[in-house]
This record gives sequence, structure tokens and C-alpha cells, in this order.
Amino acid sequence: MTAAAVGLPSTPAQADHSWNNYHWGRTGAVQVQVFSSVTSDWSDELSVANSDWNKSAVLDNTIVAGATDRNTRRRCPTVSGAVRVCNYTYGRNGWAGLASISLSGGHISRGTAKMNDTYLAQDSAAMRQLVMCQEVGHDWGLDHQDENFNNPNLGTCMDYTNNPSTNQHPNQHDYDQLAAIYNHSDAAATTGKASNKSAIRTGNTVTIITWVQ
Amino acid sequence: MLALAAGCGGSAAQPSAETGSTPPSSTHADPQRGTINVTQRGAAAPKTMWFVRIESPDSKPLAEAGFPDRPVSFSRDLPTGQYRVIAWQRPCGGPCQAAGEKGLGPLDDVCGAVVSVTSGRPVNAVVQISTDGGCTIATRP
Repeated sequence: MTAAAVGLPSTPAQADHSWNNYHWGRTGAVQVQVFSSVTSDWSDELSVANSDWNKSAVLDNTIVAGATDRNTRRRCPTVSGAVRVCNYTYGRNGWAGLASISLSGGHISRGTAKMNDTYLAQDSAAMRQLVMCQEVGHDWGLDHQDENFNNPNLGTCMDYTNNPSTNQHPNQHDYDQLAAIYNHSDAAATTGKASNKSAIRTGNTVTIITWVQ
Repeated sequence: MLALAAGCGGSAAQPSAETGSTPPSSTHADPQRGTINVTQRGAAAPKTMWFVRIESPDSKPLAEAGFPDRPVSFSRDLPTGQYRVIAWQRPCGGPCQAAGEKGLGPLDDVCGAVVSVTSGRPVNAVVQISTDGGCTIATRP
């Protein structure tokens, strides 16, 4: 997906949690297929998360059915120009969620979001919604707003917390940041803050890790 | 495809192969510093390369190494405090190389754990590789 971003007046900066300014190249709103490779017990969370993110003026993504066999969910293979969301018992590896993006031509070209059922299958509905919302949010180029588990909730799924009750959905800050990320011409792209979490670069793919607290 | 600048704080460090060494086990002389020893349990699948990284509490990479042709064996002397040890593996299209991206596939499995570095005794972090290629990091004082 290499369409150039349309140049629009930039939104005044009030948030600064873009994930290193990674973003999808597009003309108009981002319109990406989100392949659902999750089992039925995660369908609602994905549907809610996608609807939430689509409230942004710059996102208009569609969930499509993906393969849900164990092998696909385990590997969570990327799809060019799309995002795939998977759940699986990935093991006691210390992470609850994982988001990966690949880049081409300076833009996100594909992404994945993984939900680790080893930890999340028995977790609260609120935490599951938070993690789903957060990992998918990373695939659109958002970083966390806060990484302190013990301070008051910011009311966004991009905020680490031990009490997810009020952090299950994006907040206006997220939508403002998305507008700032995407309402620019490529030549005038601003630089987002350096990510302050575990991120592993492998070739042209970057993986951001949501660790279990 | 363009090379990507690292999203994490600082530039993306190319993994460098550590020379094989037995992790030290002696008591550290400096009371403000301690040692993390990272080793491996379980066999890596053929044509895979494991990497290890130690991060600061705010997720800044402090040390990183790749192990193309031998088990993970990695040791670092650090100020006392908490750190995260991360391990991940990538498939190799051909012979696993000590440096560079040639032949390396995408990140396949990753695991991490927080470890506490104290003076007096090294902390041992064992990367336990399972038969399906996944991993867990177990720590022992």
C-alpha cells in the first residue's frame, strides 16, 4: 500500500504518542482490511476495537474473515496491505499482546496483532478489550500514552493499567494523535516521540511488546 | 524496501555474536553493581538464530547479541536494579550469520522477564526453548 498521503493542514499538537511516526500511506482515510484470525471468544473484542478506532476521521477499516485454524493463529502470517489479528496460547513468554508492523516506502505496509491466551484467556473482559484495542492501535501507528501501571487511568486503551475498567477504548487524545499522524503530506511529516518500550527491529519489521505486569 | 530506523530509544543495534564464555559466578566487588548471566536450556530448532537483549526499566536496549551457531551464553555487569531480559528467534534462510540481515527471516518467537540485579550474587536468566520453538525466561538468583 503506497498511496501518498494527502497534504492537509496539520492538527495542533496536543498529544505526542505516535509510534515513531509510523503510518499507513493512503489518500483520504486509511481503509485497510483487518483479517480476523481469532476464535469466536475474541470476535466481540475485535469488533468493538475496530469500531472504536473507526471513530477517528482518518480510519475506515473493515473486518474480514480470516483463517482461524490453530496453525494460522499460531503463525499469524502477515497480509500485504492489511492487518491480521490473532489469538493463541503463545506460551508463558511474558507478553500479553504483540503488535508488529512492516514498512515499505516509508509507510506501514502490513501489520499483525497477537493476543496471548496463555494469560488473557482467563483474564477479565475489560483487560481483554484493553489489550485488543491497544495492539490494534499500535498497528495504526500509535504508541502508549502512559506506561505506569499504578497511576490514575487516562481513559484510553493506550494507557497501561492494573484496572482496565475505564481504559478499554480510545480517548480523544488518541483521535487527535491519529489526526496529527495522518493529516500531513509526506514531505512535511512530523517526528513522533521515540518509543519508550520494548520494540524489536527485524529487517523492515518492528514488533512492539505489551508485557504482562 | 527501505531500512527502518528503530522505534525504540536509540538506533537499532545490529546484533553481534558474543564470544563464547562461561558466565562468571564470583561475588561482585562493587556493592552498586551486579551481574546478569543469560544461558539456554533446550535445543534451538535447526536454521534458527536466537537473540538476547537486556533492557533498562524504561525499555532502552543496554546490550544485545545474536547466537548463530551456539547456545545462548551472555553475561553483563550492570548497576543494581531491575532490568528486562528478552530473547527472540528468527529463522535463517541459509547458514545463520553472526551479523547483518542476510538470510534472516522475521521474528518468530519472543519472550521476556524482569530480573533484579543485586550486588553479591549474579542473577541467572535461563532462556528455556520449547520443542515448538517458543520460549520462557526463568530467573534464578
